[in-house]
Amino acid sequence: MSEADVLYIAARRALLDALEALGAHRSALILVGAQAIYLHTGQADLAVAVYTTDADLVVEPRALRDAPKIGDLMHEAGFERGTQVGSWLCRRDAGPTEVTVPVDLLVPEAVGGPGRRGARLGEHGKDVARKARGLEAALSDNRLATVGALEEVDARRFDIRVAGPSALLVAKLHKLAERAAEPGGERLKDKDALDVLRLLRAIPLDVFTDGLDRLRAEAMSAAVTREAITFLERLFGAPSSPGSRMAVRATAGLEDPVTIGDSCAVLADELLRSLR
Amino acid sequence: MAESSRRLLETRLPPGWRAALPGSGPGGPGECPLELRSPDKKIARLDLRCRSQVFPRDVIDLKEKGRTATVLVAPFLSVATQRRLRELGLNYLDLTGNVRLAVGRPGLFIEAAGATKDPAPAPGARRSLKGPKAGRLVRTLCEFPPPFTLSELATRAAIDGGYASRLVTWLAREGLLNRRPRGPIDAVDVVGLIRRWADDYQVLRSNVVTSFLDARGISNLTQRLPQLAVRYAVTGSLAASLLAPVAPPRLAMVYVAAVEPVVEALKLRPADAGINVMLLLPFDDIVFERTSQVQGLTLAAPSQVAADLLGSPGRGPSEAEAVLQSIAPASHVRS
Repeated sequence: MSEADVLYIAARRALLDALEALGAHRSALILVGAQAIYLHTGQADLAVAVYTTDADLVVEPRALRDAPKIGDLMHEAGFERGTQVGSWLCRRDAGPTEVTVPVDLLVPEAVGGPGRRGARLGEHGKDVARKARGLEAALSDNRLATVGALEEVDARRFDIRVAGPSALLVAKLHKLAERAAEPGGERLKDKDALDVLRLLRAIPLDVFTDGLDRLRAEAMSAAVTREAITFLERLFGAPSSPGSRMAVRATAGLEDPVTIGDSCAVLADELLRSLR
Repeated sequence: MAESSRRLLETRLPPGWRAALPGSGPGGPGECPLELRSPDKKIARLDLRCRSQVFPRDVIDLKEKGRTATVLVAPFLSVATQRRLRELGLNYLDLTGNVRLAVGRPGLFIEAAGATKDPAPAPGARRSLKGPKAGRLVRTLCEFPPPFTLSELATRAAIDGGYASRLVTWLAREGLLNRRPRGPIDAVDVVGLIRRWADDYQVLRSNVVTSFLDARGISNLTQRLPQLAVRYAVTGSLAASLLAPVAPPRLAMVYVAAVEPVVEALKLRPADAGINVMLLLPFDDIVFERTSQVQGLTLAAPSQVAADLLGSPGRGPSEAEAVLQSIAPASHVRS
C-alpha cells in the first residue's frame, strides 16, 4: 500500500470520527473537499492516486441545534483546536507512523455572520467553525449518501449530505483563486488543480451545465458561481494557464504533460462554451 | 573472405588489440584459424567458418557442428539470421559490419551493427512481409494450429496458391516454419514469425493513422467505444494491458472501420502532441478477425497486437515481449 493510500485511509477515519462525535448535528453537515470529490470521480483515469490528508465539513447554521456544543463534542472525541479557527486536529495511525489529520468545520461566508474568520454560530460561539467564500453552492447542491471507512476493520457507515459536483467545482475554484491571489501563493497546492481536472474529466458536461445554471439562478449561490466561472477561465482556460500548469506538475513523471495541460484547457473551454 | 574479415575485425577491436591470420590450420574447406592478440600479449585462437550464404534454418546445424571458439563469416547475415545466431550464443561477422564476438580469455566482447539489407541480394532471395496479402498469410499461420496443406492455408488467408507457395518456401528457408517434402506445413515458429513480420510491417506506416486527444482520458473511450455502431478492434498498449501484465497504458490504439463517427461521438480533438488516442484505418480487414472480448472491449488477436507493439514507439517493444510470452506456450514451435 502506498503512502498516499495510508494517508487517505487515515483522513477517512478522522472524518468518520468527527461524524460520530457530531452525531446530534449530523443533519446540519455537508461533506465537501477532496473526499467528496473522489466519491464522485474515483481515479478519473489519472495515474496519480487519489489522496487527501484532511476532511472538510460544511456546517449549515440554520440546521444546527443549540446543544450539545460542537466544541465540547469535538474535545470529547479527542480533537484539539488547530492554529486556524475551525481546524480540529487529531492524531491517527497511518501505517508505521502517526499523522495529524485536520478536520475543518467550514461555514459559507454568506451565512457565517459578521467578523473576518470565525463563523458566528449562536450558542456554539464564534471559534468552532471558519467562514469561507465559495461554499454557498453546497447548501443547495448536495445529496444524501452513505459514507464508510476505507479499511475493512472499521464497519462504521454514516448517512450524510455530500456536496454535488457543481458545488464542489465552485468551491475548489474559489480555493485556488483565493490562494493564487495571496502574495507568494505559498498556500497553493498543485493537487487542488488536479482535483479540478478529475471533476472535469469524470462528470458529464450536461451535469455541470445544469448544475451551474441552477446555482447561478439561486440568490444564495449566484455571486460565487459567477465568480467561479471567471476563475475557471482564468485558471484553466489555456494549457499555459496557472491551474493547468499546476495539474501538469501534480502528475509530473506519471502522465504526459501536454496531454494533461491540453485536457484542462479543452474541458474548461467546453464547459465555458456550454454556459454562455 | 578471411582477409576481408580480419581487416573488418581490426576496425572494430578496442585499441591495442590485433587480429592475425596465422596460415591454414587443420580445418576443412572454408575454415581458417584467426588469432586475436590483446594489449598484454595474450592470444585467443578462433576458427573462422566462411559461408557464401546463411539462412536462419541453417543456424541450428552450425550449432551442432560448432565449437565455442568459432566465428561464422558470410558476406551478409540478415537480421533474422543474426537473431537466431545470438539466441544460440554463436559468434558471427559479416562483411557489411554486423559483428558479434564474445571471447572468454582474454576477455573481449564486441557487438556492432552493419547493413540490415543485403547489398547484393540473389534474385528471389528476399521476400517482403509488408503488404496485406503477406499480413493475412502471417496471421493465418500464427492462428491455426498445424498441420495444414498449402491450399488450406491459401484458402483460409484468401490469397492465391502461387503466392502462398512462394512465401511458404521462403519462410521455411528462414527457419520460421517446417513443411514436409510435398506435404503439409507441420510446424510454425509463431513468435519468430511475428518478429519477422514486424521487420517489414510497421503499425504506424502500414495503416492510416490519425491522432487525437480525448480530454476525458482513455477510460472515456473504452467505456463508450462498445456502444458505438462502428466495427473496431483495440490493439497496442491498451490491448496488451488486458492480455498480459503490463503497466496501465497512456495511449489507446484502435482499429476502426470508419474514423468520423468515433471522432464525433467521443468529441475527440485532432492533435499532434499530448495525444492519447490513435485511430487506425487498417491495412486489411484481417485486424477485425479472430478478435476476443475482454472486459467488454473487442481486442485484436494477440499476434496482431504483438506485431503492432513491436513497431510502436516508447514502451511498445517491451510490452510486445509480454504479449509474445503469453502466445509462446501455445506456439506451434518446431522442436
